[in-house]
Amino acid sequence: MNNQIFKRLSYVVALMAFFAVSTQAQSPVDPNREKAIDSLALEKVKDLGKYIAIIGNKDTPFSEANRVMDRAEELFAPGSEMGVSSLASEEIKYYKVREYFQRLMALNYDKVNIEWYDVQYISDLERQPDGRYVGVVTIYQKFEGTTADKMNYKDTTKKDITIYVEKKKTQIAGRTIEFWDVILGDIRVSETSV
Amino acid sequence: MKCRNGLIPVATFFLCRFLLKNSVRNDKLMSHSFPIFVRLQDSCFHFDSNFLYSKRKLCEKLLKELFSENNSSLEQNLLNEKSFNEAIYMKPNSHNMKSIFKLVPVFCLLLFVMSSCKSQKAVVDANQEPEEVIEETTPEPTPPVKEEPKVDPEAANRALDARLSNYFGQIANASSINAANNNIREAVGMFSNGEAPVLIIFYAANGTEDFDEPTTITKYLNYLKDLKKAPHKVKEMVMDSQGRIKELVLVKK
Repeated sequence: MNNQIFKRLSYVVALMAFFAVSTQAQSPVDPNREKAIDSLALEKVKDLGKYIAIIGNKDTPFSEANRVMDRAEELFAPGSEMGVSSLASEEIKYYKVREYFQRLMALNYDKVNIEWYDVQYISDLERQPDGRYVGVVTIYQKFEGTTADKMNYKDTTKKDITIYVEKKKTQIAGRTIEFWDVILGDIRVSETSV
Repeated sequence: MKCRNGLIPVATFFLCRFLLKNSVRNDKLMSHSFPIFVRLQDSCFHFDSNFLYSKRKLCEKLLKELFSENNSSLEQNLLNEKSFNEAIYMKPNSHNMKSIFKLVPVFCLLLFVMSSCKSQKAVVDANQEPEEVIEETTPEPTPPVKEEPKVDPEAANRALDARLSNYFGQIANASSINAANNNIREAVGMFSNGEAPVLIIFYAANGTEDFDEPTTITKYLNYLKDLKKAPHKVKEMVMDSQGRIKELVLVKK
């Protein structure tokens, strides 16, 4: 009788310990740390805005634009898509990011100016069961293209970018370094206005 | 030296003969001239102190044989009571002296041969001299090594840090892409190679550090050029054996 009670008690204790450990693993990290991770992810989005501006800029040398394209592409998860809209059409087209960059570089304008602003979270980073943090950042993109005959096109697009943050490991000079990898997912157009 | 060594026995030979002949001619006993002869032969030997002992022994042996052949009384004297040195200072009679005179040329010839051997030895020694010189000469004083001014590693690191930070600023604020690229090229020269890893710490607390995705120095410097900002400062530099940076750790300003 005593043995049975003891056995059951040990099961309960083991189960509680398991839950305690798993809860500890999923417990939110230090708030300052989370803030730092949020900032890191936001910085990556802002970096992408700069890269897009460089790629679209007609003054950027071809080699530089290609190099920046490579860097920008590295920010995305493989197969990610970018939404493109226009005031002239209701349709929103989606292109793979590399294709999007190439089309951006080849736009038939003599001068292109792209600017991202109001970059902020609309959905904070949240830890998923698989351990990744997922959040959504919204940005406003102001596009302005001018042709040689002074024809001007401009619009502002609100875009939502899915962000994934996960901890990864890599080997540097024989040492294992843990780092936070910020990966951008699809960029979807939510609004287009003048 | 060889020439001088060869001449001494010859000169001795002629001098001895001259003295002895004069003695015989004057029909005088060798009371004075014989010791002189011995002294002369001694002086002849003296040019080679190394062989003095052995030569003298040989001389003694020869004289012994002479006495044993021609003068049994003297032999008796030698063998029984007198030492050889005493014997040669004894007053010899004319009969004995004649036997001695016969030996003088032989003796001188022997001297000559031996001195020639000595001369050969001298030549051999002369041939061996360089080795001895090598042994004895003290090693050439090495030119005084210029003591490199002791560089404080921390000061050197600070200077390197300042230089690198300066490059970061110059690249971020470059007036043109070309200017930025020139600065990038110069800055990469401070590293082992363009692929030197760069780690960026974006958060550190309670002894733990959170890293951004590792990159390379070339990519990082281009990042500064593209973004036109330098948001990081140097936290740590790992140097290679040539004093170049092989790993860079940055932290947010």
